[in-house]
Amino acid sequence: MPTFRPRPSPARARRVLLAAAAAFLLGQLAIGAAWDRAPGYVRFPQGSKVRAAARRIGNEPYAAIFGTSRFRNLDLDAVRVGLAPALAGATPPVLQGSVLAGDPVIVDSLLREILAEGPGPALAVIEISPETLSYPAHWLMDHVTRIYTLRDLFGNLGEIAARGRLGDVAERRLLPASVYRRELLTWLTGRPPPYLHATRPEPQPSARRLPRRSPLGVPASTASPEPTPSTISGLRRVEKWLSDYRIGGSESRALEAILERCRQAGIRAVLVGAPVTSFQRALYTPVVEGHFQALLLELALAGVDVDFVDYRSRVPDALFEDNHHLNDEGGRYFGEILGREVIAPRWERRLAGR
Amino acid sequence: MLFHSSAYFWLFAATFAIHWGLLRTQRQRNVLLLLASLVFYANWNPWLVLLVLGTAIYDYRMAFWIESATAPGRRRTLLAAAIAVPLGLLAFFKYTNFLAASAWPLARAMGADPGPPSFDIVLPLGISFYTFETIAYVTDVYRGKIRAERSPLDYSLFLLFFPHLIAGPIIRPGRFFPQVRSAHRLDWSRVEVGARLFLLGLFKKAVIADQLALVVDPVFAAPDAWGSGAVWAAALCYAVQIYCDFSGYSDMAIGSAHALGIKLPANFRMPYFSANPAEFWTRWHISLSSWLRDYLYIPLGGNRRGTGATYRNLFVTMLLGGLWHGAAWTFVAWGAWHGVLLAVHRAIPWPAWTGARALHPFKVAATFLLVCVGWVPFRAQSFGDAATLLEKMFLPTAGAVLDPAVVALVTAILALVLAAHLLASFADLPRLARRLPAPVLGGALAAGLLLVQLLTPDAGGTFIYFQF
Repeated sequence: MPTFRPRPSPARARRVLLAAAAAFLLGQLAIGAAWDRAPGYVRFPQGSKVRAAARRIGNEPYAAIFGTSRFRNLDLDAVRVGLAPALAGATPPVLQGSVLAGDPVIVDSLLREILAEGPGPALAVIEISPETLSYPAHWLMDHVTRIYTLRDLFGNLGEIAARGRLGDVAERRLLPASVYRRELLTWLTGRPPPYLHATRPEPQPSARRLPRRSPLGVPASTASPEPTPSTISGLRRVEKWLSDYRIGGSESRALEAILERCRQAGIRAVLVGAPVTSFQRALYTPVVEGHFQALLLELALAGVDVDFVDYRSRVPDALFEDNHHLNDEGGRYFGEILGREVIAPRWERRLAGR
Repeated sequence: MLFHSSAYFWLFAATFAIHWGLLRTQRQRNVLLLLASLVFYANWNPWLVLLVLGTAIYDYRMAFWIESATAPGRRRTLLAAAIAVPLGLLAFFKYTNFLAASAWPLARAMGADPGPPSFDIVLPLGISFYTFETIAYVTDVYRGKIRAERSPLDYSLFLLFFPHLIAGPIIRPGRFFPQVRSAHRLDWSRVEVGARLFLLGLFKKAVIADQLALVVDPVFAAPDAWGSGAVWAAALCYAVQIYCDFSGYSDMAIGSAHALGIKLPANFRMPYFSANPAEFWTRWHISLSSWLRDYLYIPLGGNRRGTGATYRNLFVTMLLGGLWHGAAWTFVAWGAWHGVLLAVHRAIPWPAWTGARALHPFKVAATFLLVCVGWVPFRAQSFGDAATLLEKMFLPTAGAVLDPAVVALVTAILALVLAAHLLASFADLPRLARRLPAPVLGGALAAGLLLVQLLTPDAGGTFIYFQF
């Protein structure tokens, strides 16, 4: 017996396609609209972890270190070692608040949220460098992913256009399911993709040989190594960032906002010029340096209390894994310096009520 | 330009809108399709467009001469010349380094000193596919099955039509030309079918194939490190990965072409549900296997010249089919394996009871297993790696194991593919789809697309068959 097979209807097909297109667009718009209200652990899981760590410290006064991936490798134990001689028995808790692409825009947002949830730090160490204070900001797209609402996007439209990323921003808002899939999946499953992998167990590493230290804590071998391929590619990227260098966009506004926020909350803020290799310092041309110093001067002239310590040339090249990221030994070395020379004296002054 | 890239979306959307919205004659539409195809190919390498166009012009002219020649000898000579040039280009671009490396032991034995030469030759995308299409064309003209195409525009479109240009399906001139000679009207039913096929292909590629690659690649990259369980898992995953990758590509190609009013041939019919190797080759890469049958196996003599010649022809056909896939001996070994399977299957006088319905699932499982064994040399980097992997598959060996959570997820994905096959085998899905209310079906398509967007891995991208 022949089976009944309904004939294809073009009108119905058109309805199906229209319904599909409408449902798809509505779904995307809904995800885009929900994105502004998404909890921090969806949009910015790293920031969420920093906030959770701050909450765990509670009401005890603490020092917080904010910055980019350059400060992520700081060894907190080494910071405590640096604090110990001056503050024996009274070393404060130290919060590692550095996140990937943690420029002043991100730090400002983090600080605002930390202050909304608790007393916040008593001392804030904030990484700055010419790269994190440029116009247009290099990490704009990270800001769009992590913190910017639709309103912020309109507020920064000029800078987004100057960065040539209007199309990307439109895609992030119009096709969020695709662009934010990583964040959405992390939220839905509790861990980031990929979920399928075949990771071969690595052989147990033999004890790593660390450079021998001199009595003063400086590694014995600090001769400048030849730049590695990752250093060279990093330098090329930074060179691009610093070409036609200007200041004055969202990042410098955020720096002002951070300092003002700290003043209002009674937080002592110290800006630290992040250590970089000599190769990268060579890219800080007089023009770049002039703009950078001018911003700090402008802030001081505007009556903002600017406490800036420049450690850009403090760490030997041998202690970097590329052009500007400290290696493990560098993280220990600079962590100790930061504890001893930056946090300890300011904490002592704080305890003395000065 | 990948089908699942935004560049392709915009190219296709613009072509679709102009094709149906602005242009009225088929000639105008063919010009548009050819231009879109040139943009599609030039997006990868603008200079190599000239190579495809050159091949098209050459065989366009040769077909005329073959058609107009009357003396059989001259016709044969012209056919040989028409085939030799595209085949020579294929040999140059694809096999030069392979031939040089293969001939090297001989040269060394004769006293040559330096190492095997290596030439920096770019393999033009799709050359294996369009070469076979142009050979089919001149051969069909020679056989008198079709007339030489009068329109250079239509002939160029036959070779360059973008949905099938890079990795097929390999189309036959006799089925393509009639479709571009007469004007079509926009048929939304075909567009809907095309959209569904495209989405299905996208899901297969982005959600299944690219995810499974995350398990397959590390195991095949370092076979020594893994235990038997992981190697079996990788072999099974690769079987499903290559199927979903290639049939996904074909679905997207067929779907795109459908929406533009052109029907491309089906390339897969659930090949892993085949009950024997011969059936497998009627369901796997159908456009290639039928091409090999019509333009290689039958001209070699097929099964018309006795038992021995039939086995030889089968074996040679599969051997060359393997070599077509890639310039490496591992591909030849894969082709030889399938040649042996086909010959053995043909040689055994299967008793009647083996046709019992109850045995069908076991036959399907056995065929799948044999095909999986064949995929090992196909995917392995070298014969040494293939031997290690096969040894581990058949001799239980300790080594690194997959994470239990990964095993669970892989099992779920394979079960999903199996369930989809069973559903497609036992249910009339197109009929079910037609019975669903339009908003429900539309919503399901949108949900599928959102799911694809969400589950597409960061890694992945290019199709496996692009390298062939």
